[in-house]
Amino acid sequence: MRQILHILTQPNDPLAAKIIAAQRQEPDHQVRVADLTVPEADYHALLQEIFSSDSIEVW
Amino acid sequence: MKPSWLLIITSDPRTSARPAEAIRIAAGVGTWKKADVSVYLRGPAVLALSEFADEFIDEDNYTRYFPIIGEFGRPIYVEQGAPRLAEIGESPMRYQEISDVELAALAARHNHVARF
Repeated sequence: MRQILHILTQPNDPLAAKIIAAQRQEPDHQVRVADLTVPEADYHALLQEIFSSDSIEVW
Repeated sequence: MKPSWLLIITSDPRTSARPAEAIRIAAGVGTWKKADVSVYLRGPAVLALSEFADEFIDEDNYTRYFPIIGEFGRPIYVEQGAPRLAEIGESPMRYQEISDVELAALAARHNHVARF
């Protein structure tokens, strides 16, 4: 299982949304999203996610 | 296994310095062969493949660093069917058009993905 983390730094990013949706179709991908554009963004959780991810995609 | 990095470039090289900077960084990181660096161009960024870079911001970066990226042994990936591809003329770079689904798979295979 490939752990993929998307970090969103811009609101309403259509390309990121498209890539996330396509990757979620793959059964061997576990896709997680850290949305830093919202006030309640959890940076401590993000740090843990970064250390446990195979692929980190920053948008 | 070497770490891998995919640079997704979507900015317009005629109005933004970001594509030129991304190409400089990609060449600088990849040339040491300690990481596999790939480049994907989308939207107006495909113009970076143009035969002539005269109209681009920081045009020297294209002539100086793009050839280095060309030596990494893989094509420059570009958005399939990007309208601006019709404007690039005879590109000096080897490139390959890929679909959005292929881009998603390409991104998933890389350890790091950054957008410029």
